[in-house]
Parts: sequence; C-alpha cells; structure tokens
Amino acid sequence: MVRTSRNLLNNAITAGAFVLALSALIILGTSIESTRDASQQLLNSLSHSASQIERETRQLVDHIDRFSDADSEITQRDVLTRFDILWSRIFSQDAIINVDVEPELRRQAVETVQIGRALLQEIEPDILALTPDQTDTIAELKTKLRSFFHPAHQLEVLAMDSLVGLRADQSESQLKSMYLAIALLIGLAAFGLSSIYLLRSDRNAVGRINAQLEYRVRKRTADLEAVNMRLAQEIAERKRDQATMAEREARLAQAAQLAKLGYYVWNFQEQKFEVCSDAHAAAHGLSRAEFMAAGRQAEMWISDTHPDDIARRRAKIAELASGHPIELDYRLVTPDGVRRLRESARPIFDDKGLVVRGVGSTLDLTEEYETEMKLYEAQRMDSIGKMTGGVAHDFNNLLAVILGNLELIREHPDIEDRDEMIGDAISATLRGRDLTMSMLSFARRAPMDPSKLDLNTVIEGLHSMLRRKLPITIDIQTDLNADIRPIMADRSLTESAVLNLAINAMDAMPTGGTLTIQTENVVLNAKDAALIKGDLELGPYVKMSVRDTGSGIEANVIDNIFEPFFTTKSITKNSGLGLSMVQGFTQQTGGGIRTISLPQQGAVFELYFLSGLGDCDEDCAAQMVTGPEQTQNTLRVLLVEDDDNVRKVLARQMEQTGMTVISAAESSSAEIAFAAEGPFDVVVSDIVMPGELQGPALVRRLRETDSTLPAVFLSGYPRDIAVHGDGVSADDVMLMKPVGRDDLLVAIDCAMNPGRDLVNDLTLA
Amino acid sequence: MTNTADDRKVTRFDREMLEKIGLKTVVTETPWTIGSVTFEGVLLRDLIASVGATGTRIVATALNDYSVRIPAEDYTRYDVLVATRRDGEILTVRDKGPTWIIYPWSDNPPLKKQLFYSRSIWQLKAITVQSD
Repeated sequence: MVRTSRNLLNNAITAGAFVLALSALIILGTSIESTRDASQQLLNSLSHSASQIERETRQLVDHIDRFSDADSEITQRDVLTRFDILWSRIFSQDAIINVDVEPELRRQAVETVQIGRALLQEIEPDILALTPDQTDTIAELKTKLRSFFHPAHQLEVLAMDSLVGLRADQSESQLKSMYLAIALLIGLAAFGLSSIYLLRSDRNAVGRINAQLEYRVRKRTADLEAVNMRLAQEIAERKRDQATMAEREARLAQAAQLAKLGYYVWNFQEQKFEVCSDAHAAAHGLSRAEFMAAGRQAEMWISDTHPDDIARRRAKIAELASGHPIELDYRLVTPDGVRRLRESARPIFDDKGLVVRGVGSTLDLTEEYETEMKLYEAQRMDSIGKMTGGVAHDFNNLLAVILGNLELIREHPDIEDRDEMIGDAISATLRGRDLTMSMLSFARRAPMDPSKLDLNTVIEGLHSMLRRKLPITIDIQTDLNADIRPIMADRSLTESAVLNLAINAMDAMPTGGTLTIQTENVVLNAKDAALIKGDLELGPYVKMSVRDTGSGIEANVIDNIFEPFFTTKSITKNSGLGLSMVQGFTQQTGGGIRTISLPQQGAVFELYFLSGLGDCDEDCAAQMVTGPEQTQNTLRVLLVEDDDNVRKVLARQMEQTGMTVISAAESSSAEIAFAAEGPFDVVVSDIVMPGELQGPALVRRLRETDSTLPAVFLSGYPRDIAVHGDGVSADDVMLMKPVGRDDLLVAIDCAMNPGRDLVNDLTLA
Repeated sequence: MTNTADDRKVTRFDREMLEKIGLKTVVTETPWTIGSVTFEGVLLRDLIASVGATGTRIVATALNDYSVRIPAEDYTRYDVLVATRRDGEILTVRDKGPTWIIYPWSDNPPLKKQLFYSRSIWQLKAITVQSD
C-alpha cells in the first residue's frame, strides 16, 4: 500500500514537474508574444494616422481659410500640397484597414477612411480650381471638411480606447501571467514541499533503515572488535609462541652447537630434508645449503655412507620409515676422510598414522673415537711397558734361582743340599710357567681345560707350598666345608688364583697376620649378585674366601685393583698381574669376584665358582694322584725341534725312560731320518719350525708312508694348540711349552692310545 | 540639402538632379505596403557624397515638418535609399512622395525594428547633414 501510494506520488511529482516546466516555457514564450506588440503597434499607428488625418484636415481647412484672405502668403499650390498630404493620409491606409484589429474598431476605421476618401474625391475639383474669391465654395469646402473632423477624431479616440483596452488586456494578461506565475510558484512550492515531504518520509524510512543498519553495523562492529581482539590475542600469543619458538630454536641451535649435535627433519613423502643443522651437514663435509640440495633424493643422502655400513644403514632407515625409532653408529666417507656418526631418529606420524617425517640427531664421534683410540694406544703402550718391566723382573728372579742352584750343583756335584737346590730350580721354572699362564689368562687366551674339581683338594694341595712361601709371621688357616660341591674349572688356573690371592694377602700383612681360606656352598640371590663383579646368574655357587688381617684396601684404589699391572707395590717387586689374572680366570669360568675391604681390619676376596653337577667323581680325583704309567721305555721316537737346548732336554727326558730318540732340527732332516731310521712308534714335533714344512705338514707327509703314525705337537703359542685340521688328526695330542717330563710321557701315551680321557691327564703339573 | 559642417551650405534638388546622382533599386516589403515593392532612387550616402558633405548623422524633415535623426552608420553600412519611384512610378505627395527613405528590410532582417521603421520618413523635403 505504502509503496503504491509512494509510486503514485512519485509519478504525480514527475508529471507535475513536467507540467510546471511546460507551463513556465509557455508563459515565457507567450507572455511576451509579438502579436500583442504588433496589435499595439497597429493601434498606435491607427491612432496616430487618425490624429494625422484630423490634423491634416484641420491644416487643409486652415490653409483654405487663409488662402481666402487677400493678405495671405498661402498660394493655391500650398493648398494643393495640403490636400495631397491629406489624400496620402487617407488613401494609404490599406495596410491598417487589412490589419486584424477588433471588429468595431476595424469597421469604424474602414468607415472613416471611406468617408474621408469620398469627401476628398468630392472636393478635389473644387480645390484644384479654387481661387480666393470663391467665398461660397470656400465656405462649403470648409463645412465639408469640418464634418470630417468628428469621424477622424472618433477613430482616433476609438483607436486610443482600443489601445487602452489592449493595454488593459495586456495588464489583465500580465495579471493572468502573474497568477500563472504565482500558480507556478505555488506549484513549485507544492512540488518542493512534496519533494521535501517525500524526501523526509524517505529520510525517515531511510533513517529507520539506517538505524537498523547502524544497529547491525554496531553489532557487527562489536562482533568484529571481539573477533579482532581474539585475533590480536591470538596474534600476540602466536608472536609470543614465535618468540618462544625462536628462543627455543636459538637454544636448540646453541645446545646442538655445544653438544656438537647435528639434527635434521626428513620428509618421507616429498623425499627431501626440511631441516638440517650446520653440524649435520658439516659431518657430511658439506654446507647446509649443499646438503639440502644433495639430499633431495633418498639415495643421495646415504650415498656417502661407508660401503660396509650402507646395507645396515639402509635397513635402519627402512625401519624408521616403518615407524620405529632407530639408533645406529656408522661411518661416512667424506672428502675430509672417514667420519663416525651416531644417529638416532624417531618417526613422526600424521593423523592417519602414516610416517610422514623422520626427526633425527647425529653425533659426530670421529674426534672422540680418535681420542679414544689414542688413549687406548697410550694405555696399551703403558701396559706393555709395565708388563715388560714386571715380567722381566719376575722372570729374572726365577732365572736367578734356577741359574744359581744349577751353577752350585755343577760346581759342587755332591753338595749336601743338592736335592733341595734342584727342587728350588724346578719350582722356579714352574712358577715361570705359571707366570706365562697368568699373562695369557689375563689376555684370555690361555687354553682352558675346565674339569670337575674339588676345591678343598686343590687348596689342601697348595697348603704346604703356601706354608713354604709365606713368612712365619703369617698364620695360615683353612675353613673348608666338607660337603663342598665340585666346580668346573681349570685346575692350574685355580691354583694360580689361590696363590695370587695368598701372595696378595701376604703383601698386605708385611708385619704378619692371619690368612684364612674358606670354602662354602652358597645360593646367590639378587642382592648378593649386585655386589659381585661379573655377570652372574642367580643360583648355586661355590664360594672361596681369602681373608687377610692387613691394612685393607684404600677406597680410592678399590676400583683399580683388578686392572692389569695395577699395583700398590713397587714395580720391581711384582708384575701387577695377580688380581687381574684372578678376575680374568673367574670370569672365564662363569663366576665372579667380590672385594670387601675393612680398613685396618683387612680385606676379603670372595671367588664365586659355578657349582658343578653332582659330586666330584672318584676317577678324576684318583687320576690326579696316580700319574702316568712307566711302561713305555721301548718306544722309538722321532723328535723334531728347532731349538737345540729344548731338543736336547726333551730327548734326554725321553731317553731316561728307555725310549730310543732320533732327533731332527727341521722338517727335511726329519724326513730323511724317518726314511733312514724308521719305523717309529711316535713323532714328537714342534709346530712352528724353520724349514720347508711346519709340524702338521711334516706329519701329513710322514703319514703318506705310515698312515697310523701317532703324533704329539708342541708349541709355545696357545693359538696353535687350538688349531685343528691342516693334517692334524683328532687323535693327535697338543702340548703347551714348557713341557714337563711327566706331561710329555702322558701325551705320548695318549697319542698312542686314543680314546683315553686325555684332558685331565694333561692338566697335571 | 543643408551641410551644417560646411558653413551651412544649402543645395537644392529637383527629381531630375537627384536621379542623376545614380538610380539604385531596393526590393523590399514594408509595414505600410502590401507585398514586395520595388523602390528606385539614390543611395543616401551617394546623395551626401554628391554634395561633399562628411557628417556623422542627418536630420531628415517631411512636408508636415515631422523630422527624424539618422546616424551615418545606417547609410554607410546599409543601402539606405532616398526613393523617388515605387514600382517604376514616380512618388507623388499622395504616394508618400516626393521622396521616401527606404531601408532594405527584406535583405537585412536586423533592420525589421520599430527604430528603423521610424527612421523611414516619407514626404521627405529636406536633409541636414550634421557632425558631433
């Protein structure tokens, strides 16, 4: 409804405006129209002409009047001119008569002109012939002409009236124009007011709309402000986060730099690095930019891995790609040389659980490795130096004992203490053997011949020796459990361990004290196991304790006592291999060692041995005391040994038992002797020899002739003992130098009688 | 014809003398005639030149002593005619003669004004040339 009326109003205003404009144009055009001017002019002319006619008529009457006067200057020509002028006035009014004026005026004008014309034509002959004396004619003419005054004047008045009427009409029309103008103004005012009203109503409507709009705008602005505020907060938070991030990154970079840690982020999907630290790139011998560029292809970034490590590293990367964290050490071949890296990385998953990235850190261990190697080398050199010194000292002592006794016997063959001196020399030699065994044991290269042992028996067997060795100020006590379980260990090394601990205890008690050796069966629990040096499984063990009442072990050295060549004693007194030998031995037997130090009260070394199954079998115990049989005195032996002294001693030892010994210094002479003086019952050969063939090869050659020839091999190198094959049969016997007479005889016996339990026999000292 | 600039020298003309100056023709309509009319006569400027007058205006006087001023620019700019004949006929007093000042209205619409109509004096008997 409102809209319809508004439309109507709008249309009305448009139409009104159009009409007003048109009216204004018409008024402007018509109110000053020329037709009115023309009418006015015509009426003016008519009035003027009428007055002229009247005036000229009166002039003519005046001239005729004066012409009649005898004194007058007026000639008949003057009267004629006046007559012609009047004529011209009356006869030349065609234009006026034809002009469209109001009918009454036009009728009057035409009538007047016709009267005038008729008059002039009537009097013309009289005028032309007029003389001053024609008084009657003159009077008649004057009367006729005066009769024309009235119509002429009448016309003039009428024209004037018309003119006035026209002017009144004009005024009226002007008034009308004014009314029209007023109407126009009113119309304009109405138009304006309507427009204003419309505008105002529009403005009201617009105002309402504006108000609604403003409300919405305000609301929206408020919303926007709230959003902006949140946004600003978010931005601020983000900035803080960014600052924090930047700080963290800086810290990370600093930490990475300090830790010499490289890190990277690998994108598995795009197959490229997203992040790479300088350190990581530097480990590859590249700048960061170079590394990022080179690492665009997956193959590229493992291409500089050491060939031996590539397969392992690829496998680890595949592991990472499948979603597992990885850690590995590998080498890189860079232009600067081989670098050693330790890399650990973990996978990063997306929402779907797919591995999208791998984040890893790398530690360049090259320098540490090199430093460690140098340190290790230095330590090794130091150890070798100490060992050389220690071993040389010990051996010199032993050699001094042997040399001194042998010299005395040679000079005084019948000396009273001859047997004791010989015994000391043999003892020193055996100790020298133990010493080499200790060194090899420490190096964990000593051949282990574990067997079921009764620890009590071993200790009791050592008792007399200990009593001889230890000064009288030291009381030796044993507390042995009669029901002790057997252990699986190398007899010789077990004895060495006991001796070493006893000597250690002796050294700890320079002014005397008590040495107590104790054995017991124990069941190891987790608490005790934690205190024991070595990886021990829980369960039954045999424990041997060696306790002294000395000064104890200083706390600051207790961790070092098992190090090789560590010694609190003078380097000239001891090799420093004792405790390290003990530790190496116990570890090899699957046991452990525990040290308990009670300052000023003494120290206890507890050795744990794996408990053997069942009781000690009687055979082994019996064998250990029976020794070899003395029934081999008729054998023919081929002895091959390059060292003249050793060959002589060995030959003499065997010859003492009645054997026939043919000696050879190397393989070719041995072959000749074998061919010339055979057959032989057994061949005893050094493994390592100068000449064409080594021991095993020689035996193989000899067996081409005599395929069942038994053989005993001798070697100074434990490595050789372990080697089989190469012509050495399973029945051949290996002996470790130095070789005692009894060992040699047992070995020969074993070689000739395969199937006997040789191992136990060979361990006999 | 009186020249006020030249010691009020007076020259008298009859029709013959006038027409000897040089007859010219102006064909035009007038408010007082019906249809197009052919006027013959001498150009006002030729007439003034013929007596050696050099005024800036003339005062023209009719038989009934009615007179008008005509500025010189009217007759120098336009061919204003002192007509002696109308459609070949000699103008008499009865025909607004003996002479009639005619403007060439039909050829120059700007002249169709009351100002110039009022200067178109008929039954002309005398011209006085004046200067400022």
